[in-house]
Amino acid sequence: MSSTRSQLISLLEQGSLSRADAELAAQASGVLPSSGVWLRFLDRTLLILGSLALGISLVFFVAYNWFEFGRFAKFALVEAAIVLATLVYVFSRETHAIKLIHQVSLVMACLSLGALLALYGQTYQTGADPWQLFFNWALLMLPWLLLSRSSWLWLLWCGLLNISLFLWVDAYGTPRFLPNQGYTTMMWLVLALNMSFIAVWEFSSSHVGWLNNRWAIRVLGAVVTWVITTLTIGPIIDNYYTPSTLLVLFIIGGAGVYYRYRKPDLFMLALLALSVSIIALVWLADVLFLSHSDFLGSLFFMCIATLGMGTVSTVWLKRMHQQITNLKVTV
Amino acid sequence: MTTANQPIEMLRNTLQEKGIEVKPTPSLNASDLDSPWFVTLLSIGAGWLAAIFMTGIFILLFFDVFGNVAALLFCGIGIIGLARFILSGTPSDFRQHLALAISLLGQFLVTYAIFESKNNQFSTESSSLFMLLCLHLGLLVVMPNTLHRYVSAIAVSVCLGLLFGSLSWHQVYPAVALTLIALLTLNEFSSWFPGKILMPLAYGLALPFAFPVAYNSLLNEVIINKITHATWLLDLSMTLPLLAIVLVLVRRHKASKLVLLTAVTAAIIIGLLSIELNGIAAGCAILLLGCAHSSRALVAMGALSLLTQTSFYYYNLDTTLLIKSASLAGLGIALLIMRWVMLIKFKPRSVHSYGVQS
Repeated sequence: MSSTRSQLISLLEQGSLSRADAELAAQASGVLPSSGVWLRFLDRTLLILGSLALGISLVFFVAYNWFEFGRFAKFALVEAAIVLATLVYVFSRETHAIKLIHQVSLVMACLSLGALLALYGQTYQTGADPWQLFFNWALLMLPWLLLSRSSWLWLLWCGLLNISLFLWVDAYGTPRFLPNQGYTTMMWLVLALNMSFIAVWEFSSSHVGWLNNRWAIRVLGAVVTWVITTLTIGPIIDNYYTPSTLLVLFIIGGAGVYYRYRKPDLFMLALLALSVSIIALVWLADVLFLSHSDFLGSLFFMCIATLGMGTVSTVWLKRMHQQITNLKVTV
Repeated sequence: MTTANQPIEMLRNTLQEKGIEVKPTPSLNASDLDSPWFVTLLSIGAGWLAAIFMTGIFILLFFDVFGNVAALLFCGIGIIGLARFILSGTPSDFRQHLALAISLLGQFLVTYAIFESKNNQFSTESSSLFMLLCLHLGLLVVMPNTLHRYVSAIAVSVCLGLLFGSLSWHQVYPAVALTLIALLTLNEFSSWFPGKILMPLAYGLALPFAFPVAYNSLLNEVIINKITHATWLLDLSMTLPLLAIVLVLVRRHKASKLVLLTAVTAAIIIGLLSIELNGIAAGCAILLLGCAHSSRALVAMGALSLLTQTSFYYYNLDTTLLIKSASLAGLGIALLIMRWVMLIKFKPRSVHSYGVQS
């Protein structure tokens, strides 16, 4: 659904609203905010910016004096940050005014936990692998996650597990039961991990209200789209197709059907359209340029193909946008 | 009446209840619906990629033209004219993409011609950039397509910055750009304002503040060896647009003298602090403009500007971490005190009982 501002501008551009009445209409519709809206904006902005400035100031102060601190002073500092953030979380209530403080304090506690583990590893040189830092960080913050009802933290947790996977494969290589294709196998593992995150999140969001934050699922969707596109482009460029390439196309098709009919989401459909367009264009470029055909003709076909794919994608997405909007309005 | 019209119908009813006349709107089809930003981004990407291929085709076909400035100019303007002609037909997505790609090719040829002519004794870098600026301003007015206007607005912003850089005026460019953004945004709903043409320009001018890394990389190509040491002047100069914005907004709401005094004091404090914390005055100004006109794009750019400038501050080698820590602490305390004063003086209850802006 369009915002009020874009609707007002639309009325002006169509000539339905006279330019002479534009300012009055903007005030009446709330596009020019009232004093109450200004107060709320300034209240939140000053709180966020002031807190951020103080927090960053503290970080800079610690960084300046870091080498002067002894081992225990460093630990005490980080642990104090965790305790303080947790206390703020426990004693702040989820009222409208300070819901933001409530959420931010727990995020700060989780980030400070990571800093503590890094400091521990750096100070005692335990010989642990880097992947263990991120994995243990994800494990230790799990209880907070379950209490928090915060999509931000769950997304951070997914990010930590992704980093752990990257570092684990980097240290030990891919598991023996998988075909050893190095980078490709690692990308398949990342794909499997993130697709399972999306599957669990989509399933849970139907039953748990606070998980129904589309933006977080869309971030994971963007990661999966990037991996899928990379996994398909590689075999095209190397001219080495495997059955797994078909599997990727099957995943794209399945995701398209799910986000078109089961849980309509325009952003996810746009990601899939982008992926399909890139794959198609890379395949076409491979066929045209590497088959030593006429260079000028190849450029011409690529230009037409790009325009065509862009147009088809945009038209289809706009049609989907209208259908999804109509569906939401009807519901 | 289609269900796609329903949200606009609600706005129309609200306006009519308040005595504002609204004529019937034509029924909407899919291409008229407000496209989400990621769909627009997809369109822009496709247009740019197609333009690159078209440029390759043109270079291969008309390689000899590239030695002749007049021929290049003629071809470029002719191709832009073709794009204009395509856009004058019934609006469709295919026409939009095709016209954008063709127009970008034409613009590339004209740009090449302008900089090719720079090599003669009558032309300078500044004059070339000025001609390029005029080209993109002209396209902003002439091309009847929103997507094309956004692309032209970005080009205007880059050309203006490079022009100021070539004239060694790069110290005042941010203040000039901020003033223009303020003028354009605050007059958006004035009766004389051609919003369709000028609001994309405001967004284009605000973009370098949100993505200073990309902008500075471009500018550094032009201003090498022209750096002056009066950088405090640059930072302080951005306080003036911020003050002007605050004064206009306070007057618009017919606020009391106390509100006026508080707002002006806050703007001056932010301006003075921006000498140390470069760029925060600009970020705050864009954020205020975004809230003043419910523009999510400007609010996002203002917030991004503040975050980016704060990150840059860490890497600033002119001051120690201790002084940076003190500056940030001072800023944080000042902001929280402002908030406290605001909540005490302006009826705390009203802060929590306001309605939600749609």
